[in-house]
Amino acid sequence: MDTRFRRPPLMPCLPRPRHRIMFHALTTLAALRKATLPRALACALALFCVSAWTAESRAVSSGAGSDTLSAAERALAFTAAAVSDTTALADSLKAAQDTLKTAKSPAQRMVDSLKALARAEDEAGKVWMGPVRYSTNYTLNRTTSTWNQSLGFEFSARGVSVSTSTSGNIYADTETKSDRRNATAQMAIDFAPTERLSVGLDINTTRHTDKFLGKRYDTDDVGARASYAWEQSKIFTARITATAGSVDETKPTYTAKGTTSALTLDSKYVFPIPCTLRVNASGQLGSKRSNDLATALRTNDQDVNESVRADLGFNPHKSTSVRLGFSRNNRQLQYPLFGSQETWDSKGTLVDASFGVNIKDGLSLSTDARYSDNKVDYAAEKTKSSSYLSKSATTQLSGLTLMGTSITSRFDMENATNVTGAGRNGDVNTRTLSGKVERRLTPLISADAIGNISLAQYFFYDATSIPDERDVYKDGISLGLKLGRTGSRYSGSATVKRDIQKMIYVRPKNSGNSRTNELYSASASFFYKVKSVTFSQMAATTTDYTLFLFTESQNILSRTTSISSTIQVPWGKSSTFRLAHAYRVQDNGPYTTPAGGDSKVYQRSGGSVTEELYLTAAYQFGSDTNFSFGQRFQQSRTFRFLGGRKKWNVGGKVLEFLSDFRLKYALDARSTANFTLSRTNSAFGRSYWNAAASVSREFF
Amino acid sequence: MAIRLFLLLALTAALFSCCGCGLFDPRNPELPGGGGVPWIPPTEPETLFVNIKNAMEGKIVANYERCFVDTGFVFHPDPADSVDLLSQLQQDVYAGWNLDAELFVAQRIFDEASSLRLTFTKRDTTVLVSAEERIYYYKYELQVLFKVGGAEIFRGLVDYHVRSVGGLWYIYMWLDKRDPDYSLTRTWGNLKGTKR
Repeated sequence: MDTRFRRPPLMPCLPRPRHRIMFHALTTLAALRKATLPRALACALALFCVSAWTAESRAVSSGAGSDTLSAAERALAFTAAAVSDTTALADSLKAAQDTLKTAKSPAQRMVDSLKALARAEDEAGKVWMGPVRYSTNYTLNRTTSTWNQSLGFEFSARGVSVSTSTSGNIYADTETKSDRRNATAQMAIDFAPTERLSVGLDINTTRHTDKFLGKRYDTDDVGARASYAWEQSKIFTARITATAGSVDETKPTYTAKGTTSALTLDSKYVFPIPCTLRVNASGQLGSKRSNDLATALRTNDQDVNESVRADLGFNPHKSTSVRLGFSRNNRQLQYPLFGSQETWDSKGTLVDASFGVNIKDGLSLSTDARYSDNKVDYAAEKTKSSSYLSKSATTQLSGLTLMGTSITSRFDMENATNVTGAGRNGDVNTRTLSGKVERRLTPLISADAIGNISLAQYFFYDATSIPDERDVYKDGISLGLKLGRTGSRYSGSATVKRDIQKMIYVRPKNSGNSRTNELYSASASFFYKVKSVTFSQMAATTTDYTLFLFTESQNILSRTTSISSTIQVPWGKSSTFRLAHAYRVQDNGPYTTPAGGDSKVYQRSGGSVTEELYLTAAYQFGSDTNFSFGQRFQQSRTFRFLGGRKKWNVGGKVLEFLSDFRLKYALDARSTANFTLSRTNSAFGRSYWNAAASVSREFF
Repeated sequence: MAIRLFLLLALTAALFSCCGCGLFDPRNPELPGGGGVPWIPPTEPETLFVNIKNAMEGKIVANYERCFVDTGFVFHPDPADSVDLLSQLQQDVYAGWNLDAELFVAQRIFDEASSLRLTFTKRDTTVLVSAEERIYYYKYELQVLFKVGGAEIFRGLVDYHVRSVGGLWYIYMWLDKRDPDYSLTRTWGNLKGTKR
């Protein structure tokens, strides 16, 4: 066993919520470098004092919490949420991966700080302190566990505002032996000496450690900024922002130190005629001295980013608008890559124009056209270089009503030329036409018809070495009927649909794959509510033909029928029972012409049956606590036909039994706690636990 | 009323002329010169992985595309790859990874490879999220012989979240993970990240 791997610590069972929260805050902050530890202790001390000070008011607000929903309705809602949350656990990995991307942009931080300043102004110069926000959540999903924590607060006094936030994340996976820890700390200080001028300071640190691979990724950056706003008149307004700072990075393959600077202009000019010009321009320059640890190569890396965007809007008439836009951006980035310096150069131009007219009573016609040219060049990895030139247009007609029928229609087309460093050069032409017709037949019944048709064509200049020339054609039509209105006791719907997709490979090497898919489906659903008992059911049947153009022996027909039913019954004022059942049967087989026959015949060869039964009971305690308990049975079996008789496949069976427990507790109006625990027992595989716990708290 | 009637007639005429003038007519395929790459309609979820293998090895991006949902597809790399490539390439190459990104990268891999071999080995029992959703757990080994730069084997673990839409199964989430037995070997997710 690898001794480097350790499971993450479970949440400690401290007796009092306040102490537990303090413990989490300290743990998070202590994960940062020693330099931030004094700040962590100070924050924790402040937290403790504030928490004690507000304990009484919290108790009062908790008791006074008004709730317009009845206990039974809340229980119903909670039951539904509990069921839909089943799949959410699978997303826990994403939280771990995205931790490093959660930092606010300097612009957003500045906006937050200025808001804080504005609030302080409202207090007539008094000291203002925002709520201290703390949240933590822990998730166990089969083999992975994630623990996230965040703490933040802001205050302002005498024109100075300070906002700070810290977050920590521990991610572990027993299967891959992963053990990763992230910690970030941010602080922004802003001072506004006048109404138009503001200056600020930003400090950001990020730490990431991969304990299994023994890698560290550290980044520190410090920056100062100044922003000045002009508002000479209502005609012209502008804001210019300048920033400068330093960055220090330590990565497994290199170290880097350098400077950053940026200049941004945002201006708007309103002409005396109905016309507006808006110009945004920004430029950024960064410079770093990098040291590649493997090759000792030292490089001076530049990071240049320039962009300009101009929009001219013109409203010659109240119902008519014209807009012209132009944007240009250029980014050049250098970095050490495998013993050499890579230069990534990206240039993009976009010209777009749009025209819209409201003809009468909601009837409107709009059209827009775009031209874009994007090029990306890599100096070292030349095969990654590419250019993409696109010309596209869209026209849309909406709000056309005639004798109670409303019609909308849209047409899109794009012609693009793609050139790549790997030699895959060619054109892609696409066009799509879609439309929808709706009509209300009676006050309770409405009907609609939706149709669309599209074609995408791929051309390659070197058709001999690139045999991928193809056309993808799609058309579809669906007819639907809806019964009932929102909030009514009953509702229902029925839909029939036909979709055709043709995949045509043009060149001989791949043309054997050319095929047509025809899909026909019919579905119906209804919902019925008697007092507090609700019942819903949905049924659908689908037939899918896959027909190969050249090799009929590959043709396949598949048929699927599914039906699902749900009933929710309240029991007393606080309890709810929910029973859901789903059944799905599918069969498939060749769809070919038998020897001596003259038409294609379906021959069933196999299929599957899946069944699910899910019973959930929810109970509401007072107005702030509810819990649910559920049990689910699932079975899936596959079969095949041998000599005309159905045979169940050995090993093609999955049988699961799930029990889950959920608790939601509202401590007060600004604090909530959620706990979920589930156990899945598998008859033919590994059984496992899933769990999730989260607490969020606002102090003050 | 007259304007609306005129617009309706114009729209109807435009629709018929668009559909009838050949604007949406696909080309005719040439007679097949090879055996083609097998494609099995994914009426059963396991068929998806056979199709992915065939599409990769046959380098047919259109078949590869049909293994994924049209909208809402997401790919999550191993967190180690995410952080590694962010520091190496100075860009978050995995940000906003949707089906377009998946196909772009797959095509780039196909272009740069002279041959590909892919094997999946089931590593855990399937989880039934619901009657229409499942999670499959596989180990994979992807051997790539590049046109330039020799051969490389990519190993790792993959969790495929699949969903049934209209009787056919599609992948809507792909989680790539390192194989702890090959901690120094690059994953498929790492290869994809470097090709974006």
